[in-house]
Amino acid sequence: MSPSECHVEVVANKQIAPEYFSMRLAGPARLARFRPGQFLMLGWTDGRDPLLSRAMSIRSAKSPHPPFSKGGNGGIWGAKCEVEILYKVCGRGTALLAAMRPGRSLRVVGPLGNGFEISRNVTSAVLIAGGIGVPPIAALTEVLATRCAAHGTKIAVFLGGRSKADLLCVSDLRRAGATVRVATEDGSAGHKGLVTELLEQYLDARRSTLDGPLYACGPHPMLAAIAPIAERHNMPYQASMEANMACGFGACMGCVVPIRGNARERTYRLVCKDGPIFDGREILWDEQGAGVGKMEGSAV
Amino acid sequence: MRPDLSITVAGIRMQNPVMTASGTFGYAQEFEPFLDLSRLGAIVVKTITRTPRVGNPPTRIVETPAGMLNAIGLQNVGLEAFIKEKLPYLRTLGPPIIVNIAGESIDDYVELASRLSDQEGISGIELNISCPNVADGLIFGCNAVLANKLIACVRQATSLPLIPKLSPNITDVVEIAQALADGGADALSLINTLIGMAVDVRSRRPKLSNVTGGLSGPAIRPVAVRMVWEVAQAVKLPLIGMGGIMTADDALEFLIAGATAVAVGTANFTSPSSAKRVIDGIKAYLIDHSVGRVTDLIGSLDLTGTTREITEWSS
Ligand SMILES: Cc1cc2nc3c(=O)[nH]c(=O)nc-3n(C[C@H](O)[C@H](O)[C@H](O)COP(=O)(O)OP(=O)(O)OC[C@H]3O[C@@H](n4cnc5c(N)ncnc54)[C@H](O)[C@@H]3O)c2cc1C
Ligand SMILES: Cc1cc2nc3c(=O)[nH]c(=O)nc-3n(C[C@H](O)[C@H](O)[C@H](O)COP(=O)(O)O)c2cc1C
Ligand code: FES
Repeated sequence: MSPSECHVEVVANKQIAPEYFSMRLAGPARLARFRPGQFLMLGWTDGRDPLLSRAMSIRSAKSPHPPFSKGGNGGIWGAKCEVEILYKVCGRGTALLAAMRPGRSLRVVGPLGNGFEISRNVTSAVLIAGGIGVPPIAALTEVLATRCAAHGTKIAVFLGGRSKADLLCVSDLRRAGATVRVATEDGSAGHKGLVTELLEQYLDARRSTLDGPLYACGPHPMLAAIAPIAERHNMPYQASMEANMACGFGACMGCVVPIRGNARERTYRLVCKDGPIFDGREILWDEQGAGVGKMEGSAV
Repeated sequence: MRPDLSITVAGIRMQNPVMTASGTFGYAQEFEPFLDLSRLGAIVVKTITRTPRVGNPPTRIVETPAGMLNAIGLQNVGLEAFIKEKLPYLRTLGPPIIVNIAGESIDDYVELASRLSDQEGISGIELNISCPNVADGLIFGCNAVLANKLIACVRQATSLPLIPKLSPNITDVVEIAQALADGGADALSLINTLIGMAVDVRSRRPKLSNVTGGLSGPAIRPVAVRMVWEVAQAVKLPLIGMGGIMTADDALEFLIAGATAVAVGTANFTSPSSAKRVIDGIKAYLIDHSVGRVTDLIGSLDLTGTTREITEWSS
């Protein structure tokens, strides 16, 4: 499905935790055809300041939405579906999003990126989300649950956050049939410590019963910490990467991550087009952090 | 009334004056889902160099007030891959294709220009002598003698129209423009990005891995309009104006200040159909203001009552 550019209308914008919001957007039906892990570039209609659109993963999409009444607010967009995003307020753009009332419109380009690869014939899947990395992981859980129902696939989700308030979508995940294990750095819920510690314990005990891949989305240090774990257990690892983006569709060359390649010359891939989901073995993990003090916004 | 939007720059005929700025339109294919590429005045593709370049490490992009800093580092597929993989597609689109080139030496530019001259489907060459993100990227753009020599040498190597692209990171833009005109340029593009910098105060580190980067977007438009206006008065060549064009009104500022054509840059990122809206908006303006031809607008700035008004006793 090729991406498109459209206007969407804010239908709901609800605070779900101290720093987190859920926003529902009404837009053209084609937005609903997405793969978990794909994202939207969300921009302001005036588009001068803030200038750049913000990348937001698609949490869920409902289609078809009952068509809007002709004279009504949404009629001009020919709206037919509803897309949900979850976001953390961590800067100017997300603060402006948080202040948006229903009825206001935003500019959207999407769905963008490759999305997670779903293997149908596995009996297990292990998913890890850190902080605001949860939206694509929750979307993936729901798709895995329906697609792989016939195989009785066991879905284990690991959620990590600074404290209890940073753990989102827990009930959604359970409702989809996943086993959810949580870790918080302050110990306010679940294991006190890092989610990767929980993951290691789990894999050490169960590895022999697992045939599916690891899927992860979260802050860079978490994704990097999972890479050697996946390697040690010889499990395929799909990681959702982040980078500052200007366009989101492969035109600016701004959103690169370094790839393991030949030693003499650095190779880069585009997060927006070649990703955001990468094979964990492909990424040059130690180098990525060199990206100079960014992305604190989405730390766990 | 159907207004006439067509223009000619450096002998290249365009159905309207709206082009795409190099490095902001990829190799055009990325934009196919978003707009009808055949409607563009001309397509200018990302800078190509003799050999492929991997570009700078991340972070390459940061947002700034009404603008952005980039330090891509001229990542590109290189001359041969461009000819083999990108050009065949570009040729099918319709609008004139202008290839932007950069080199580290006069030899590089000469080699690129002569190799491109052998190819079908290229209407002109834009010379990037103003990239702030690579070592030596600016030497030709900041020195009138070198700029003149460069263009004169490349002139020998090709009969394609040559369009050097000026840097705003200089004291006197007119001096360089004049040197390029004297050297045999057919038109001038202006402006490239302004060198800028941003600091993360918490970590006390630069926000870009290259430390400095090129500022683009609405923030630079007033600088760009001023430079177009200054050059338009001093140099006879047609000008392609760019810098922060988001809307038709923004583009009209450049035309009125003296540009024959404009290029949409950063706006392609924030809305990939921007160029189409600029074209439609210019057309609507011509109709609303009963202007028959877009060329009637070029340099039509009215200075009456300003300090720059030319009166009998001031001249
Ligand atoms: C593929 C992808 C999916 C994402 N999905 C979500 C999501 O579902 N929910 C969510 O809350 N966040 C998500 N993010 C992160 C989100 O894009 C940033 O948190 C957001 O752009 C911050 O904007 P701001 O204006 O509040 O922050 P500021 O720091 O003021 O932003 C300044 C600039 O930096 C960029 N930037 C800052 N942080 C990030 C970051 N972590 N990643 C990329 N660009 C950044 C902004 O886009 C903007 O251009 C995603 C990022 C990517 C790359
Ligand atoms: C991400 C990015 C990449 C660019 N790459 C090039 C390039 O390869 N060659 C070039 O001549 N100009 C390049 N430019 C400069 C633009 O073509 C243009 O001159 C400048 O951005 C001003 O226009 P704008 O404000 O509309 O973007 C680039 C600009 C941006 C933002
Ligand atoms: S964000 Fe522009 S190429 Fe990826």
